[in-house]
Amino acid sequence: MRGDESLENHRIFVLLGYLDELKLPIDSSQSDCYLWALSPMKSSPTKYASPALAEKIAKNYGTTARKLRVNMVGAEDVSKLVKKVQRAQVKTSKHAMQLD
Amino acid sequence: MARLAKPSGIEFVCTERPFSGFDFAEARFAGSPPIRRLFSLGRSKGARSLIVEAVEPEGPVLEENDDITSIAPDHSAVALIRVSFWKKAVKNHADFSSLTSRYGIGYAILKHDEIPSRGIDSWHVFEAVFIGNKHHHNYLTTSGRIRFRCGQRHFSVTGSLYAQQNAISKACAQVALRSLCATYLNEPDLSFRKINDLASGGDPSFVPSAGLNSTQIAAVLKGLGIPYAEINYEANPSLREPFPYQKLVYSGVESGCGALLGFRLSGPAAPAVGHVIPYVGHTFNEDAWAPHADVMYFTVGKTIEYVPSRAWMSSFLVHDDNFGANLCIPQNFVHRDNVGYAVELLPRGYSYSGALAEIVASQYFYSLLPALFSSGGNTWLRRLVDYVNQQRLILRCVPITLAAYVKALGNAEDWEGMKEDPTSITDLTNINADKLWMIEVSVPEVFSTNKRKLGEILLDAEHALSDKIDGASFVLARFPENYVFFSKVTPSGTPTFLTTPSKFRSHLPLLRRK
Repeated sequence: MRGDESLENHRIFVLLGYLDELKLPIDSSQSDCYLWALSPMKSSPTKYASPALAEKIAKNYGTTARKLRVNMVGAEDVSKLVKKVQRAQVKTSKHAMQLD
Repeated sequence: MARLAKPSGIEFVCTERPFSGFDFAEARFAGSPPIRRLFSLGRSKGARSLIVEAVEPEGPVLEENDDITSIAPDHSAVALIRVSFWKKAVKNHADFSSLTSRYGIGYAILKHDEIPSRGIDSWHVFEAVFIGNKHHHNYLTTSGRIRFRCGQRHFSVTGSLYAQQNAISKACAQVALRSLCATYLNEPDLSFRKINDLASGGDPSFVPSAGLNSTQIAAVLKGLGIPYAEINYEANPSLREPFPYQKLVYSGVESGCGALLGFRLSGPAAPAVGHVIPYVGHTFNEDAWAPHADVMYFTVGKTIEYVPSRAWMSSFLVHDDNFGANLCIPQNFVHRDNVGYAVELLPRGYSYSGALAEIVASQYFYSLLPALFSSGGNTWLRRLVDYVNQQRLILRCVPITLAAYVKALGNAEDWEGMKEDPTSITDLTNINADKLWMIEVSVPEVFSTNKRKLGEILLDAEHALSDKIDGASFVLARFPENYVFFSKVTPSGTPTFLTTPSKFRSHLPLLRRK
């Protein structure tokens, strides 16, 4: 078998060259790191862990939580694939396969 | 149930040379391939004796006899034999009295049915459970400890239940379902009648010997309360390339729940209906060449998002009711174009596939890593970035509860022996989530040789997966010296996270199955 069949190559999402760009000097004193063009998203409440919990853990180390602002790379492609799989699961019953 | 039934007689058989499993299986059980396979399994695991007992039909076997008779009134249940295989020589009752489960290799219930009007006079394996291969590359993940009787005593064996069709009241689909569901539910006596009842939904025209269609398979899983994720590739052929069946199947076996694969047969005489088999484990070869060679030789210049942990897997472990139990299939042997239907069984309370979790986690990873990389000079974060640049990021998705995760973190030491701050471990118990997909992040040598990782991303598995970076599924991420919490999406649409320190500076053990 060819190697590319033995591995799952997710070529649809990301151009990895962006990490090379990071090797350019970055001002790490910035509390917010802006990366590339931003794609609009709807806001959503934090459900699992409150900012207070992050602050509490940071306090255990004598510091404060650091804010990271990030951009999703290839978000649309991931979203499309996930939606496609989820849609496929919904319509499976319309094309039943007989197995004996 | 036949596995626990009182025997009417007991026979001790020495299987040391010149005993022939072929001769014995042919003389006693007409020697079908799955029955011969039982003797091969016994031989390969060092069987020195077998114990043969005639038992009376009980429970699911009795039900099956009734069901067959309702289909074919001239049915005769000719014989029911329980055979168990042992690593110790047992020649008499004195030897038998010192037998314990640790000498057990497996047991099988062999059933002889006769239906003159249909020309049926055959033996089949009603059920069999054998220990997995002790080879350290083999992981029989979908297995359970099952009790059986031998003589007047009870023993147990840890394995994955196998069953064979009889072409009357059950076909490949029913036996594949019983294999997985009996283990999943820890109900070894899950009956074929129950499976057929759930599949038919009361339809009087239901013919069990015709097998089940994919909708009926889903109905059985639903009826048994087993969550699942399925893809019908015949209805969605465009998913074969971006979401191949191996992803779904591997996620099922890696989680310990199992998976089913339905495929079309090929060849000039191939019938129209497909075949389905249960997937119960996988191999893992730390010396695998393909994960290294793929990027260097076969995908030169192409973009690879990540290398899944199954790249180190040579074969899936399966049962095939036509051939027997505990067989290996090279992971790409069943061609994608032949595959029509794949089902991943999910852990209780999980609502979506681990394969999808892995994809979404990769998106979080690529978003977070640059920001984390800018924050300091951790050697392992630098190495992680270097490996990512070489397209060598490894992701492995496994289910875990928050409590188990926090406990594992509290017990873990990084390579230099550093433990996490206990107060922070206690604080992490305040996270408001329970069932999680944990996507472990690693790099080649650390992963395959040391079975360790550089971090993990945790996604909530109970609620529907959000395909957006909106914090709806993201619970937590951890990388060397960092925990990452989701904060909010700003009004301008930018996701923001909060990062806090961690005492772990290097790699931690991968989650290991007990």
